[in-house]
Amino acid sequence: MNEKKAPLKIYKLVLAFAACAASSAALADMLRSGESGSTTRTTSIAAKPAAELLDPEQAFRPQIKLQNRTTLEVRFEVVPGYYLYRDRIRVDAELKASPTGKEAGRRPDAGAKPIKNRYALQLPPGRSVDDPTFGKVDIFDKSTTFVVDLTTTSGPPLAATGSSTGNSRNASKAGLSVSVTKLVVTSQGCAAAGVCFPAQQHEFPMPAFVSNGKGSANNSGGWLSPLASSSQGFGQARQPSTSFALPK
Amino acid sequence: MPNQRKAYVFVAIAAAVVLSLFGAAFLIGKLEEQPAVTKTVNAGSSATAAVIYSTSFPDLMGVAQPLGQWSQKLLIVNFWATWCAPCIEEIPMLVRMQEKHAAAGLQIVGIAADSSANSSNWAKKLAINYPVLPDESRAIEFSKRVGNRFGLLPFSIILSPAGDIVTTKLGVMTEEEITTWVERYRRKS
Repeated sequence: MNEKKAPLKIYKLVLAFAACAASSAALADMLRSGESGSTTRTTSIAAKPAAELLDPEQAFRPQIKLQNRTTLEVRFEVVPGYYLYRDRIRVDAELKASPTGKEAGRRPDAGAKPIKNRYALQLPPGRSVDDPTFGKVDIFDKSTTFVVDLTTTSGPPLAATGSSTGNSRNASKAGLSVSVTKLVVTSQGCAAAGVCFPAQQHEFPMPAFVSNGKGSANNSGGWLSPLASSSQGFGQARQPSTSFALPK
Repeated sequence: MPNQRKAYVFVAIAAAVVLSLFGAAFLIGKLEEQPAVTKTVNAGSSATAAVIYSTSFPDLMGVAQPLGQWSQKLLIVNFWATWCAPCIEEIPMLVRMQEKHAAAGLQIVGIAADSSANSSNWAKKLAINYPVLPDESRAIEFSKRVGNRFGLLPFSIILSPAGDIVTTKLGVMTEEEITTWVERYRRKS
């Protein structure tokens, strides 16, 4: 009898031992990390833990919709707890000018260099707040939509890299037909929790211009999401984008 | 009865095992922890410290300043910009801390994701008493490299006089936090 019971007993003991070891180790570990957790809370942010912060594309959700060849709608679906500075919004396009008619024959490679155009904007007023540093500022802290007239340009021709034709108006006058190859919406905002994002350039696809605003896969009722967003500056060169510098 | 007694013995042994394992784990945990400071940055932190010390940024005069020149200090590298309101609000406190704790070995350095002109402007307005290093094109990317996930501002990283990363902070620092670190790493004269 003893012989049969002995191995069973040992087996039970071993199992029990293993279970105890596992659970006490787990318990000790939990308590240990609980302890160091309190002294580790030095990576912190005023109101929200860093892990909960949205990336700028999720926090501001920029979208565009082409109404027709000359009218563009821009929308920011700002998430509560985030806001954009009204006066730091820009809508820029990179344009390609191709010669038409007589010009095509005469100067086939005119307009080969890209033109950059900054559109004049009619923005809604937003909400006025009293900023301790900047005084009265207008912000967008909820969903905001505005319309851009694509025939406009704001300010003098921009010095795009290598461009010699200036802005789109000059190009048209020179007998060139202009098409948008890249649309970039710039925004800059902060989280109410007390951190700010650098200016973001949201790049949008432009087959929309050719195919009636339904060019992209990210299509929901004609609204297009950015292809890419970055804080590196408009254009590929990794240099300060002084053409689109934010106002002082 | 033998079985009952065996059961008691079994329970006693199990309890003893639990307690001793627990105690051992607890002790091991205590030994692993560093007495002074719990690192919040992962195993790559000494590599990060090396990266920081070996990088230079231009000062307001355009002269390249290697961050390694402050390797013997309790170094607070504060990333800021003039378009960032909370950053501007944080600076007067940093100025006070620099003034108060310089003798204890504190060195604050302000890397601005901004132009030299803007930075210089605000440096004067705020009477900044520590090096201001403007680098519009590199500041944010560099801050991402040393732990600033989305390139948000303000962001600070603190290095001890021994060359370890003490902590990183996203958002404004407080006077209490800085004072704590100063006391912990105070230069013994």
